[in-house]
Order: sequence, then structure tokens, then C-alpha cells
Amino acid sequence: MVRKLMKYDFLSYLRSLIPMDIVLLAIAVITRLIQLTEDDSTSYRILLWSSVTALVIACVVASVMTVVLCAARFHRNLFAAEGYLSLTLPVTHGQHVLAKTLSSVLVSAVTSISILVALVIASLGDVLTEVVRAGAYLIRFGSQRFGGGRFALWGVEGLLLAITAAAAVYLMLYFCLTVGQTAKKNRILAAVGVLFGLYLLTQILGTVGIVISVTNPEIPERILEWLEDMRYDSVTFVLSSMIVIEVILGTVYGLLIRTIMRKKLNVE
Amino acid sequence: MSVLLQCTGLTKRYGDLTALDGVDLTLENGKIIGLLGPNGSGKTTLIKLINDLLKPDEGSVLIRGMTPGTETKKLVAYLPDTPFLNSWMTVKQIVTMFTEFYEDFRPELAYEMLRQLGIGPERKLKALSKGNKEKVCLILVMSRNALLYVLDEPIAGVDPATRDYIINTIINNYNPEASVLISTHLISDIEQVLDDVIFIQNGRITLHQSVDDIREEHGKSVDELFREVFRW
Repeated sequence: MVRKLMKYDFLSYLRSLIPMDIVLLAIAVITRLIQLTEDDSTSYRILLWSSVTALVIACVVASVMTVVLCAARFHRNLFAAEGYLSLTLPVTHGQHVLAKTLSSVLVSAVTSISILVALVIASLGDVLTEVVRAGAYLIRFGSQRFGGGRFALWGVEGLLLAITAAAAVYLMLYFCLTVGQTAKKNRILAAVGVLFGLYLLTQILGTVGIVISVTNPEIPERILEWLEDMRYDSVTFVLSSMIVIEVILGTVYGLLIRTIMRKKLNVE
Repeated sequence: MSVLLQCTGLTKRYGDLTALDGVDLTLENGKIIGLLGPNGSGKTTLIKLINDLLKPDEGSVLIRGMTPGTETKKLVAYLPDTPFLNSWMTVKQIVTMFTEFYEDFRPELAYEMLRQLGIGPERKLKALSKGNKEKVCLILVMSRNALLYVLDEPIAGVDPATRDYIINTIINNYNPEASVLISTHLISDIEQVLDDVIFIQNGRITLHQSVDDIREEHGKSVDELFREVFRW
């Protein structure tokens, strides 16, 4: 069922993603074509910087739009008119949430790849050659300095962290929308309020952490010593811990969404 | 006949407003039942509770002994009172979607009814007229081989010819072992197909009787009785 739900989520996303990616790639191609007409004139510089600025803006817009699109799809498909169909399919609430989360992570990956391809197109030639050389040097250096196996493990952990963090962020947004939906009116505003509340909570927790560290300096010192003792394994430890935290956060959000949808939610 | 739907003390409140107030209701299979009441009487609330779109504040709904959920959604075919299909989809995509999700869906029947209406499978739903959209929605619901069809205002806001088409589609395509619960306030159009009627007023069921008994007991048609009961 999750696979089937994802299929229809993707069909919906593609309608917006394909035009967005086409615009992004078109701007990248234009930027590259302008570079090919290189000369010392002011008009060339203005044109080049305008196209580069447009490309940067397009990349930012594509990233933001993807997140907005995924949040909007969750709301429209479950809590608006489409919810009459989605929520009467023989599918559990948990399957709906899982499908939406996986689709959103995959859509974000597609957008990331599109941005990467756009940047590669825009920087074809000398710039790209230099970037590839720098990347290859870093990989070589990292493998020699830290060991090939360990360096590859960090890469895998980094990728896993990106995936779990993206899933946790989407689940947090879905949680806000779901809680907002339980309000009697101004539900989107209520969802924004919940998001702000969560942000405030993380700021308070962060401040409390800093206060504890400042008033008890032996605690951060001990942690730093412990990490130093682990040497390179400390990177693996930190990355793994972050993955675990993201998984726990995502699971908590997911379970809360499922519970609210099962027990509280009214599609009116 | 066996019990298909049982509501016991079913209550639903929206803030201070009590939409359903301790409703007790039992429906058996093999009948077409009219859920009749004026606007705001609680018809849609009852239907949404049956379809697990609302959670009751008190009481219970049982469909074949099960509370509304994933298993009951396999048995109940629901037509909401608002357009519920993804308008960006083509007719073929939405038929495929129903085929994939509902084991009891009969795509060949759906395509045949669509062909009779001259609606091609490649047409986008948003390109269809309001009447045709409503017909597609009904065709999808009636193409299921469900145990209970729940149709919320299926004939509201359509022209008389479309109304006839909708009524004919309902009576010609529902599973005879199943029951059909039709909510409406356009009684005269639908009276001839009903076996039983339920009158609902201010969230309470005021009458649940067969159409034949109403005619015999009150000497009136359902429409006439409705006008008398719900007169302002």
C-alpha cells in the first residue's frame, strides 16, 4: 500500500517538479552560454553576474519550493477535499504518513540532484575541472590521512544523516500541520504557531545546555577529553549519534501524527 | 437479513453545537435507505462517522461488527457531497487508482459506464463539466462491489436529466446483497427507489420506517410526510 500511495504522490509532485527543474536547468545553460562569449566589456560582466545571481536564486527557490510543495501536498491530500478520498482508502494512517515522508525525502533528493546538475552545467570548463580536482584531492587526502575504510564510512554516515534529517524535518512539518488541523479555525495559522513553538522549545533547550556548560565547565571538558581519546572514531560516534537522534525525533513525530489522526482528527 | 450497520448512542459535537445526539440506528443488507432531513440536521455528520472521517464524542458505530477503520473501508463505498477526486488526474489514472486500492472495484464496469457517457479515459478530470465530474465520481463509487454504499447528496445541484442518470446508475449497479444509504432532501426524485427512510432532525432520528409502511400508515407519500414533519 505504501508503494501505491507513493506512486500517486510522485505523479502529483512531477507536475510541479518538472517545470521547476526545466527552468533551473535553462538558467544554468544560459549562464554557461554567456560564459562562452567572454570578453572584457562591462555589459558582459553585468550579464554574467545577472545570470549567476538568477541561478543562485533559482537554486534557493527550488529548495524552498520543494519543502513547501511537500507540506502542501500532505495538507491538501489528507486534510482538504482530497482527504475524502485518501482517508477512505483501505490504508492505515501510519501508511499514509510513511508514504508521504518517503516521497518527500525522494523528491528532495531529486531537487538536490537537479541543483547539482545545474551547477555542473553552469560551471562546465575550467571551473568544473578545478572543482573536480579539489574534490579528488580531498578524497585522496582523507583516505590517506584517516584510512580509506573509515573515510568511506564517514561518507555513508553523512548520507544517512542527510536522509534521516530530511525525514525528521518533514515529519516535524507534518506534525505541525496535523496539530494545527485540530484547531477549530485558522488551522494553517495554528500550524505555524506550533512550528514557532517547537523552534522556541529548541532555543530554550539550547540555552539551558549552554548555561549548564558555563556553570559546570568540567562537563564540556570531560566530553572533549573523551572525544579526543577516541581520536578519529569520535567523528563516527558524533555522526552515528546524530543519526540516532534524527531517527528518534522522526519516530516520535510520526507516532504523534498517527495517534492524532486516529483519535482526534475530524475531516470537516 | 443480517445487521450491516449499528449505531448506538452516537453523539458528535462541534463546540457548543450538538450535530448528532445519541443516535441509535440499525441497517440491514439488501435495502436502499433514504437518509432524509433538512440542511444541518446531521446527515453528513452521520455519514462521516460511518466513514471514519469524524470521531464520535460518545457512542459507537459498528459495520459488520467492526469499528470504522481500514477493514470497514474495504466494505463501504462512499460518495462525499464535495468533489473529492484529484482534478489533475486523467479518468484512466483515477480508475487505475481505484483498481489498485479497492479489491472489489470492477474497472470493466466503470469503463463501460464512462463509454456510455462519452467520457474518454484520457480526459483530465479538471476538463470535465460539473455534471460529468459528479457522474464520474458516482461511477467510481458504484463500480465497487461493496457491502454498503453511502451516498451523500448524490443528486443535489444537478439538472433533472443528470438526476435521472444518477438514480438509474445507483439502482442498476449496486450489489443486491448490499445496502445503499442515500442522504438527500430532494425526496420526490428518489422516493420511488427507496425501501426504507430515516428522518433526521436536530441530530436525532425521528422516524425509521419502510416506505410501504409510511404510505399505509400515514396515507401519504414520503415527500408529503417530510413536508409535514419538517414544516417551518
